[in-house]
Amino acid sequence: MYTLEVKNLTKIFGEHKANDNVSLQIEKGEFFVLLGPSGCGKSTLLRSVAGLEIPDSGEIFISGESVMDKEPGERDVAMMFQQATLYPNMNVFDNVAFPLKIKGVDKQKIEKQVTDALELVQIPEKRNSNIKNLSGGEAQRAMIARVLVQDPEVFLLDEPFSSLDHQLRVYMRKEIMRIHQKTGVTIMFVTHNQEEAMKVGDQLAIMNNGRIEQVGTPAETLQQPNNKFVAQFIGHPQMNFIPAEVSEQDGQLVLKVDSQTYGPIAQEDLIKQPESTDLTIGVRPEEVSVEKEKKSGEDKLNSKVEFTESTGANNYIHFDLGGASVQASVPEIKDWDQGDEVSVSFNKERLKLFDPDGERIK
Amino acid sequence: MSKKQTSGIKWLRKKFSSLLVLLLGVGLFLFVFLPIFYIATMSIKSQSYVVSGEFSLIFFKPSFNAWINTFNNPRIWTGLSLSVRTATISTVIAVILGTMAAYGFSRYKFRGDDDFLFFILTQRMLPPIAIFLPYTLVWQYLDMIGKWYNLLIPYILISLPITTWLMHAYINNIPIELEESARVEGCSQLEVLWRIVLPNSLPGLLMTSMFNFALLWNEYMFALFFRNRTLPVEVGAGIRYVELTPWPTLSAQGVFLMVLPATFAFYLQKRIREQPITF
Ligand SMILES: Nc1ncnc2c1ncn2[C@@H]1O[C@H](COP(=O)(O)OP(=O)(O)O)[C@@H](O)[C@H]1O
Ligand SMILES: [Mg+2]
Repeated sequence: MYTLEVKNLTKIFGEHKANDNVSLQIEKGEFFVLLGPSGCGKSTLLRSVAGLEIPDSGEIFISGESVMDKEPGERDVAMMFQQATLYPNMNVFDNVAFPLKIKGVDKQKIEKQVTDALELVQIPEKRNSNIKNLSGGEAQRAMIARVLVQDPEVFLLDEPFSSLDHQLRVYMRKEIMRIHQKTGVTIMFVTHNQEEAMKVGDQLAIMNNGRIEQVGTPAETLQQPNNKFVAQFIGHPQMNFIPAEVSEQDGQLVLKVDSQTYGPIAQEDLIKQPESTDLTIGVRPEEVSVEKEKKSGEDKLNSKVEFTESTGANNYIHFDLGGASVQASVPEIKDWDQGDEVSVSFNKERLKLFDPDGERIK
Repeated sequence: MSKKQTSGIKWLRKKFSSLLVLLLGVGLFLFVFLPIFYIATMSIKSQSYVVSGEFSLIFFKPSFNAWINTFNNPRIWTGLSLSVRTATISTVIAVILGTMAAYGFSRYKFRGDDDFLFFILTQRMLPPIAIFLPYTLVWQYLDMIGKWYNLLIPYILISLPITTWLMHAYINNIPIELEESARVEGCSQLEVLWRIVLPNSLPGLLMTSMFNFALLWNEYMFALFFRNRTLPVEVGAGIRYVELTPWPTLSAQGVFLMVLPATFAFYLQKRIREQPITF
C-alpha cells in the first residue's frame, strides 16, 4: 500500500492540460520530489492532492483509500505554500495551534504539541510573537511547525523556500531534511530547482508540460534519463547534444557527425532499432575527452576550440561539432587557447543516443 | 546672471512657496472648522444677543439656554432614539450582506462578474428621489408610512453598493492561500469566512461600518418623506420661515447631531490604527 498514489490524473484549465494523465506512487517515509520547469503543472498536481483543485479525471489514494469525495480538511494532508501563509490575526502560538483547535483537540494537548513543534523548528522563544515581527526564516519555521502539528500522512510542500534568499534557502532545505529524518514523515516536495531536487530527494519525478517524464532516484535520472528533456534538465553542467547520423558497419553501430565518422560505439543489437537514422548524441562534459593536435582515426572527431571557460574549480573548453556547441571538461585551462586543434572522443559506455522524438534509445 | 542673484531668487521662491502652503493650510482649516466653530459658539449665545444685530465669534456673554432647551425637548430624545435604531440596524445588516456579496465577487469567478459588480456601484448614483417614488406607493399600499422600520430597506439599499465595493477591495487584499491553508487544516467554507476572512478584514469592516453609519445618521430626505422624525428631521423642523428662527437652540441641536457619529468615528479609527493588518 502506498501512502500516496495518483492514478491517471488529468486537469484541464480551459484548453490547457495542466496535468496530463499523471500517475505516481509514494511510499511511507519517502522524501519525494516533484521537479519541473515553471508552469509545467507541479502546483496543480499538489493542489489536486490537497483537494484544492478538482481533477477532470483520474483518482487519488491516500493510505490506500480514495480521497476524491473528501474535503481538503478530511484528506489527512498538510500543505505549505510558496509564501508563508501565517494568519496575520494570530500570534505564532495561535497560528501553530490553529489546525489542532479546528480539529477540537483539548487545550492541554494543544499546549504540549505546539510547544514541542516550536522546539523542533527551533523558535520556542517566538511563541508569543506577532507574526509581523518574524524574519523570513522564522516565518517559514513557524509554518513548518504548523504543518508538523497536524501529523498528516503526507506533507505537501510547494516550493516552500523559493521566496527566501539563497543562503537561507539552503539552510531551510537542510532543516527540512533534518526534520524528515527525525520524524520519518512522508514528504512530497515541489521545486523547479534541479540542484535542490537532487540533494533532498529519495525519489524524483520529473515533470514537463503536464506529464511525468520519469520517476527514479536522483542517480537513476542522472545516469539513465528516459529522454532528452530529462537529460538536459538534470545534471550540472548541462549535457551536450550533438546531431549525428547512425549507420551499420559489420554488425556495429557507427556515428557520422559533420561527415566525420565515429565509432563503432556499440553492438547493433545493444540498442533498440532506431526508426530514423537522424539521432542526437547526449554526452556530459566530463564524459568528453579531448586531446590537442589533430589525430585521424576512426575514434576521433576533430574541431577547433572556440573559447575556454573556468569556474575556478572546473575548466571547460567549447568547440563546435555537427553545428552544436559542445562543452568538455579539461584538467588545465592554461593548456588551451582559442583556435587550437582538438580531437574529441566520448565515454562510449555512458554515451546516450536519442531518437528524433527525444526518447533515449541507448 | 551672477551666482548670488540666482541663489537669491531661489531663496525667494522657496520662501514664497512655503508661504503659499501656509496660507492654503490656514484657508483649509478655516473652511472646515469655521462653520463648526460658528455653530458651536452660536449654541451658547442667547437668542436676544443673536437678534440684537451684534456679532462676535468670541466676545459675547455665554448663555446655556439653548442647550437646556435642547435637552428638555422630548422630541430630541425620541429623534435620537429613532436615529440610533435605524442607522445601527441598517448599517449592521448592510455590512453583513455587503460583506457576503463582496466575498462572493472576490473569490468566485462567474460570467460577467465584473460588470455586475460595477452595476452594483451604479446603484449608488441613482438619485434618491427616483427610488423614493416607488417606495412611497408600496409603503402607502402596505400602510407603512410613519412606521419607524420603513426606513430600514431604503437605508440598507443605499448603503449596500459602497459596502460591497469597499469590502471587495479589502477581501481582495487577503491572499487566497490563507484561506486555502485553512481549508486544508480542516476549516469548512463558513469557518474560513468566520475565522480567517472576517478577522483579517476587521479594519475594513470597522471603516465601512463607520462610513455607512455616518451616511445614514445624516440622511434627511427619506426620513422626512416617510414621516419618520429622526434627529436630522427634528433639527430641521426648527427652521422657521415666517416666525423668528431660534438660532442658538438650532445650533445646539446641530452640535448634538454631530457629536455621536464623531465620537463613534474617533473610537473606531483608534481601533483601526491599533491593528493595521498587512499581508
Ligand atoms: N486556476 C487556473 N486557471 C487557469 N490556468 C491555470 C490555473 N492554475 C494554473 N493554471 C495554468 O496551468 C499551468 C500549470 O500551472 P502550475 O501548476 O501552477 O505550474 P507550476 O507550479 O509547475 O509552475 C500553467 O500554464 C498555469 O498558467
Ligand atoms: Mg507552482
